[in-house]
Amino acid sequence: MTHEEKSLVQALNRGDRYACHDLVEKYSGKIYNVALRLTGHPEEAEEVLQETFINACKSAESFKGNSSLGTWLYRIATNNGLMRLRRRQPPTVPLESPPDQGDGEFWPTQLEDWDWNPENLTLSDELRQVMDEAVASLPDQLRAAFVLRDLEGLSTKEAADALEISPSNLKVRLHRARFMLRERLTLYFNERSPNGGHNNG
Amino acid sequence: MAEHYHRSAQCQELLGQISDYLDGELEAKLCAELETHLSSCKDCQVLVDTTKKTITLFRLHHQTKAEISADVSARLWQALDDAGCASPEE
Repeated sequence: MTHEEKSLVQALNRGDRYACHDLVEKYSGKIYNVALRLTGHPEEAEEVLQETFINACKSAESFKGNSSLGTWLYRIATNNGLMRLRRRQPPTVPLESPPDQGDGEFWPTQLEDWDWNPENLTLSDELRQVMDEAVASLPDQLRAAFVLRDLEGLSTKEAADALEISPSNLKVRLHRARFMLRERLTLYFNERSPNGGHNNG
Repeated sequence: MAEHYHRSAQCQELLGQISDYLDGELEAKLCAELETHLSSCKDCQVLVDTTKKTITLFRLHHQTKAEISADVSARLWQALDDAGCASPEE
């Protein structure tokens, strides 16, 4: 915890309204993006945003300083977001999990290379929609790991702290999320391939 | 769709290491073993390459951060004020 964070937390604990204002100014953009990516719905993201800062400003004493202030806020936002997802009925159609080999490991089923050059930085609207749907269809815990680590760019430790799991558990969830998304994108690219999904011979 | 992943013992071992490898978090010895395997296994090469492209694509897609609109911001400050936390005038 930095000196600045320590001062901010002390002010929050005194009920200083200016401190809450500073906290919102500094972190609301990041928290809104996490909430949006986690829930996939602007209205729910807004509610998560409000809940997160009300929780944080009213319960600053629960911040123990074991992580950064930002990670603590990510934790509150992720918990609020996941609670909303659990209440949501019915869930979106889940992505099909690659076959589990019995030891918890997934095997890929889609092994064609893609007809996509990473130097081509233009993403079509159709591809963007497929990607949004794919993330929305991940199991909640895997989506949270993917959003924090790969989309928000938190380190393995920061993302694990935010989700209150071990770094090794975070890695397992991230690995599965990436593989499930990879399978979905491979299907997408192969459906559009001139040789009908058999790019690699 | 092709389901021809040949699942050798080496492929099996590699599978669980791909994320760490791509994140640069795989220890040097395992990294070298993995790269030796990749040089002779087409399926694993494709797996590593398309996983890497997956991460690249999603990061590219989410490069632009959503901005909080004036309406969302106003409602956030109102909610905080109602909860006795803060208001923008302060």
